[in-house]
Amino acid sequence: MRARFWAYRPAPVALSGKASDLAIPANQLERLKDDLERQNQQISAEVASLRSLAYAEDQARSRWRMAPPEQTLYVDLDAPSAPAAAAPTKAGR
Amino acid sequence: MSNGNGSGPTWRHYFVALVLGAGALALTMRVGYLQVVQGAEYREQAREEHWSRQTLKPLRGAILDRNGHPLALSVTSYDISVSPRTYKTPEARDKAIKDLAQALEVPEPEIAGLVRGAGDRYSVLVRRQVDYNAGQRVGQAGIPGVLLEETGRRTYPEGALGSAVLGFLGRDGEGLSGLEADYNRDLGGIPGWVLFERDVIGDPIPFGFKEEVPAAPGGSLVLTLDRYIQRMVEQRLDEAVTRHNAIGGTILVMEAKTGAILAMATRPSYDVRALDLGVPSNQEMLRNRAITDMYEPGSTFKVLTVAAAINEGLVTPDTRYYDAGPINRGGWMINTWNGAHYGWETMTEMLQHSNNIGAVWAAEKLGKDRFYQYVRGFGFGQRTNLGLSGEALGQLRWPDDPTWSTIDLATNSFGQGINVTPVQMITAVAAVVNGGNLMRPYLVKAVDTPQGMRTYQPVTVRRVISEETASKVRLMMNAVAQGGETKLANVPGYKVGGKTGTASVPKPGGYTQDDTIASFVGFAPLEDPQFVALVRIDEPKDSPWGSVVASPLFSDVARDILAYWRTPPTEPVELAAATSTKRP
Repeated sequence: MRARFWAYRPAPVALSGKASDLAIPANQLERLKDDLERQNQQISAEVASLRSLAYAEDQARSRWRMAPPEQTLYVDLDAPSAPAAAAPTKAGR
Repeated sequence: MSNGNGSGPTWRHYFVALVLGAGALALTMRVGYLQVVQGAEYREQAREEHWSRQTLKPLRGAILDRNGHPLALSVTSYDISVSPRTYKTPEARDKAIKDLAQALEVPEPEIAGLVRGAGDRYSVLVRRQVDYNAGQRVGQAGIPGVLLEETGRRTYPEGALGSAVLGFLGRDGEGLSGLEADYNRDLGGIPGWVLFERDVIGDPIPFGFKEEVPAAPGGSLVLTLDRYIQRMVEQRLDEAVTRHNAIGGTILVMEAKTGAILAMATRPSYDVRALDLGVPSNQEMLRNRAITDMYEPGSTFKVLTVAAAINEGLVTPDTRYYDAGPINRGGWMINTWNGAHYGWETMTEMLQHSNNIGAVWAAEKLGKDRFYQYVRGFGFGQRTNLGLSGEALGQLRWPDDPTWSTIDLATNSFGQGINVTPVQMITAVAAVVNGGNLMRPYLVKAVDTPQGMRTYQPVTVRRVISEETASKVRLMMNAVAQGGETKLANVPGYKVGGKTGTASVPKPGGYTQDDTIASFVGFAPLEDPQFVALVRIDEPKDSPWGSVVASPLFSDVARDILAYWRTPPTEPVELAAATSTKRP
C-alpha cells in the first residue's frame, strides 16, 4: 500500500462513545496488521539472503576454511583465525 | 415633502428604501452568480478539499528459480522527503536535520546539504528506498516537516545471478528489460485505491467516509532456471573468459527432452543491483546476448548437416567419401581447418576430424532444396519464441535470394556464412539429442498470481529427424568426444557426446585473420541424455580453437551438473583421471 503521511502528527482529539471505543482499536489493529506484513517481507528477504549460494560459499570459505575440490587451500597454522563473516542484514545489497 | 399633517413616508423614506432595495438586489445577484454561474467550480473545489483519492500501489511479485528460491523479490521501503517551509527558524530546521540523520544513521551533512539547498521549496527528496526498519525509526521519531512515502524496493538474494535474464526496473518500479519487462503485467499486480474524507492538511477524518479497493499483489514467476547450475555456469564462464583473455562468452544449458532452460549466462553482463544507466558503455551490456547476438556456429553445424543426410537415407555413419584435398566451389577454395587431408574416411571420421570437405560432400548429396529444408526445420532463420523480447531471427542467404550461390551451400554445410543465435543452436542440437523433436525453449515454468496459476508445458514444435537417425548421430557425437580433437570434453565416469566449432569472425568484405569464436555443443549422459550444453568463448587470445578453449569448459560444466544431480557414473573411473586438475 502506498500511503503518504506526515511523520509528525498533532495529538488526536479525545473521543468518547461506543463507536470510538471500537474504531480506535480497529484502526490500531489494521495498522498492526500492516506493520506485521512489512516485517514479514523484510524477514523473508533476509531468510532468502541467508539461504543464498553466495552466503553459503562465503561462510564455507571464511568460517570453515572449505574450498572447491579442484582448488588447493593453504592454511597458516600460526595465524590467528579470522572472525566469522557477519550475516547480511540488508537483503540484496 | 410633507402632506400637511406630518405623517406618511417622506422622500427620505423612499431614498433609504431604494438604497436597501438596491443592496438586496446586488446581494441576490451576487449570490445567484456564485451559486449558479460559478457554482460548479466551487463545488469541485470543495470536493477536492473535502475528499482525497490515493492509489494503492501493489507489492511487486517475486521471481523464483525452479526450486522456489527467490532470485528477485520486493520489500516495503520508504522515500523520505523534507518540507523546508515547515520550519519557522533555522534552528528548528537544523534540529530536524540532526534528528533525521540520527534516525537514518547517516552523516548529518548528507541531509543538511539537500535541505538547506532546497530553499523555500514545498518538499525535497532526501532518501530513496530506505528500508523498513529505518523508516520505522523515522516515523517513530516524530520529526516535524518530514514526509514518509511508502514504496517498494527490489532485492536480489542471489546477488547479480542471472542479471541479464532477470532484467531491471525503472525508478517507477516498472520492468525495463528481461523478464521484469516481459512479465511486467503479471509481476506488477493491480493497483487499488482509497477514497476518504480529508482534513485541511490532507489526513483522513476519523469516522469519516472511506471506501477502499485493496491492491492485488503481483504474481510470482517460477523459472526453469536452477540457481545452482546458473551460478556454477556463471563462475565457469568468468574463469574461462579471464583465462583465455577473451572479450566475452555464453553458456546455455537446456533440458534436452523438454526445452527447459536450466542456465543462461552471458558475458559481458551487468550487476542488476548496481546498474547505472547514465553511463553509455553500460547500455552495451544490457542485452541478453544469448538471444540477441548472432554468430557463425562453425563446425558445430556439421552435426546437423550429417543428421539431415542420414535422415534422408543418403548416408550412414559408416558411409565413406574421399577427401582428395581442397575443393573449388564457385571460384572459392575450401580447405580443412588444419590443411590435413585424410583420403577415404567415414562420416563419423569426418566429424571426428571436423573435415570441411566431408561436410560439403554431405550437403551436396542432399542438394540445396533438402539442405535448406532441414536448415529451416531445425529452426534457423526464425525465432524460437522462448518468451523473451529482443530475440534475433538469425541470418543466412536462402536459395531464393538472388545473391545466393553454390559457395553458400558449401560454406553453410560447415557453419560459416550463416548467422545464428546461441539459443537457436542449442535448440537445434537438442532436437538431435532428444530423439528428433524440435522443442520450443522456455524460461518460465509457471506464473502464480492471486487470480490463479498458469503453468507452461513443453511444446514440441515439429519432428525434424527420426529417432533412429537421432540415435545414430548421438553415437557419432560420442565418437567425436572419444577419439577426435575433443578429448578434453570428456567427463570421467560418463559417456558424453559433442562437437567443437571454431568459426572465423566476419568483418566487412570477409573474415578477420586471427579472431575466432570457439564453441562446443554437447550432451550427457550418452545412454539417456538429460541435458545439452552450448559453450561459446568469443575471441580467445591464447588459442583460437574450440577443442582447446571450449571443450574443457564443457567438461567442467558437465561434470558439475552430473555431480549436482548425483547421476550415477556408467564408466569405470581411473583415479588419476578423476583427480587430475591439469589443463593443456
